[in-house]
Amino acid sequence: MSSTPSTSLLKALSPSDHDEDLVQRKALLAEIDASCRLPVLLFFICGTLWLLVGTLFALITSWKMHHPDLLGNIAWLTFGRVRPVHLNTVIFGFASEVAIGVSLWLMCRLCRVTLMHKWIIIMAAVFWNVGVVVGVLGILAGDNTGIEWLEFPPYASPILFFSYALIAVWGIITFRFRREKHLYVSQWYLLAALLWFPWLYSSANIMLIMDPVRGTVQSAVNWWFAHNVLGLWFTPIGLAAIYYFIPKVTGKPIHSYYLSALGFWSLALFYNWNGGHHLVGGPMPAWLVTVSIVASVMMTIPVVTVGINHHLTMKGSFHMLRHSPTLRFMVFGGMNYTVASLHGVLSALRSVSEVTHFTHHTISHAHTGMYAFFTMVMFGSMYYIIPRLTLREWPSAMLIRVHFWFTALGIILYMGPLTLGGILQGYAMLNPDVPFLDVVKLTVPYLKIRTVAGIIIAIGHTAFFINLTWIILRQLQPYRQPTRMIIAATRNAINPALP
Amino acid sequence: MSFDSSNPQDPAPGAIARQAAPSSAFSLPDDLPPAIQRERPEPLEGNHPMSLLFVTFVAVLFFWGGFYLQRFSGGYQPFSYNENTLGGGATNAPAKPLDPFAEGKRLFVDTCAKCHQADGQGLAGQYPPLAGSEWVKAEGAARIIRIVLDGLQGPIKVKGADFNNQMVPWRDVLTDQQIASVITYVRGEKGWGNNASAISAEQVAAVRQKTKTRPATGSWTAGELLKIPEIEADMPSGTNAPPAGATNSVSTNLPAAK
Repeated sequence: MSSTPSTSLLKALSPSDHDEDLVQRKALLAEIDASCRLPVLLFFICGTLWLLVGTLFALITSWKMHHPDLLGNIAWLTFGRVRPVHLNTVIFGFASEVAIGVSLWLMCRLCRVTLMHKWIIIMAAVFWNVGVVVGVLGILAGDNTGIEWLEFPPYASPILFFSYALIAVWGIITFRFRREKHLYVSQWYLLAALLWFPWLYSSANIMLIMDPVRGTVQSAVNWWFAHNVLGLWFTPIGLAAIYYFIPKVTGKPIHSYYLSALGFWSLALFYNWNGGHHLVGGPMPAWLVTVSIVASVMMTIPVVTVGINHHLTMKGSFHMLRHSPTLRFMVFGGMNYTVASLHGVLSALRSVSEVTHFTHHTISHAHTGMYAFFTMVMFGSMYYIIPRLTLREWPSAMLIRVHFWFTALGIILYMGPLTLGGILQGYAMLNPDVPFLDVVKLTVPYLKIRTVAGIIIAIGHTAFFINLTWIILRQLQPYRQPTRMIIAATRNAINPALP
Repeated sequence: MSFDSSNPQDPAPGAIARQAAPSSAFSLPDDLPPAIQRERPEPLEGNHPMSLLFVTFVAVLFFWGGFYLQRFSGGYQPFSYNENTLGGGATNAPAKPLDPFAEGKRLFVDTCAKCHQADGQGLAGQYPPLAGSEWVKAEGAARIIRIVLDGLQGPIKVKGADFNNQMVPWRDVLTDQQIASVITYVRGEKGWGNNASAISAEQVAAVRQKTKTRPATGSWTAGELLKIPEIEADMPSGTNAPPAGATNSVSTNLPAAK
């Protein structure tokens, strides 16, 4: 991670002086995209299908919150099962699959190597989906482990872990074969996330399911895991994508290498400690919760650093938001990263947590992070990557517009009222004069708004799904590959050692 | 807002080609995919230094973090659960003594109000009122403690009205202190017109011990309760401070024990 760009990168700054270089570089990009085509598209398509399943279960769950009788007679579709199905399909089905696809593509491009032995990745994708299907059916059948974010029954997790091992090993091997000496900031995040996730997932599975630790330690491990899935798996991949796509689309370098470095290392240092702030007021040694609160507040450093870095890179290019769907989703996601994180800092404080914890406020916050930040960034990434994999343009700009506005306004309509409703609910629960049933009734209007927001978001997802199906079907039409000649030529020119 | 529908990918299609070939001596081969042809170079990093203001902000945060960690970690003791505890076990804020009336009010809302209602008026014909009830305001608490412990069944007359229902036992649900608190609240809630003395956890414990075989027999009936004296001779004295103004002068019109 040297602080000065290598000479080859300096060349790229003024490509007109190095015509041959540019052709070769671009041909290599085309070759990398071609090598990623099948595995990455597989992750994107399956991920999007899981997104639709997850959205459907989200709507059922949300509806049950204000009409508890809905589907109440079918054991498979009771609240205790549909809610974890929603959570696990969007986390392990949609978000993780798209994140893996984006990571592999970014890793190959930034390392300047093609995706080698892609059948291993394709196999991993199949296994991953089998794992999610088994897990979801397990939960619906009543085998929920009852551990938050780890609801998949014990017979599903090993499948996921095996599949993940294939992916991570391949990501790291790709990194090992990199042809670019300079490590771009996105690579730091990707490499870290590839190593952090197996650490989280295996530790949590061993300590909570295979050989459970005793008593309250379980809740400490559980929150360490659940918070870090967001913090050390999704967040780094989301940030890696923003760090790649903002300069890529605007054509400007990232504002400051120093801010990038500070942002990465402070995230690596502090995020891991955050989970314990969910245990404020619980039977935990005071120091454990306090360490967590301090680390949560210190998260201000990476968040503000990244926010400044992205903002100053974007400065002067905001007009591009009119035209570029990738940039628009990226900037929306990046802004919500700041919002979600600073909101999280506030919620971690003891005085705030006493009111907001165990209310809908927490749900709203989780969706700000997972949806308004991460999911939107993943949508933006897919808008950029998929045309390069399918060699087709997006068929409908109208559907992209519908997708953006419905998801963006939908999630804002979700976050605002539910945050407010959660705070009111928290104060009401602290007041012994208010009977519990009145607290429940107080939240109903906000829960109904949430369902409306969910329906709006679902419309956006449908628009994206139609566009995706359309572009894939176009890709199935016969296509002459004009890039073959130049690829064959450049492959030997650039790296004769590679097969 | 509008996207160029033919090319929603790139903000300025053709920009790359223009940038790449100002001299017209060179252009990208046409057989590269169009998306690749128009995309900008791979991203780079600039080298702007961090602003001093921001560095100061980071330093202040670190200072705050160190202070908070040291001050609210209970001396890093494994069994220190109160963040206000200082190292060595001394607290600067002693634990608040239990207020039985407040605890009782909370328990009543959570536990009793479903039937007896938050205003203590009960439901006519179904659940007897507690507000102004002669059973509640009785001088001694021997009977009401038994009712809460093991429940009540069958006909009962309260404030001149007849009820015939079933009250569930709370023996295995609530502790002595909780039962004492909730009865203290119900007897002392002046908003309902009740002003009877507080009772203590010891009193509940004594009755619980004395009636420990009762669950086998079933809930109490009004007739059985009336045979028990309102004030039992072997009852420990109440140690909870009575609610302000509460005296033993509350007149009751319960029938005397036989």
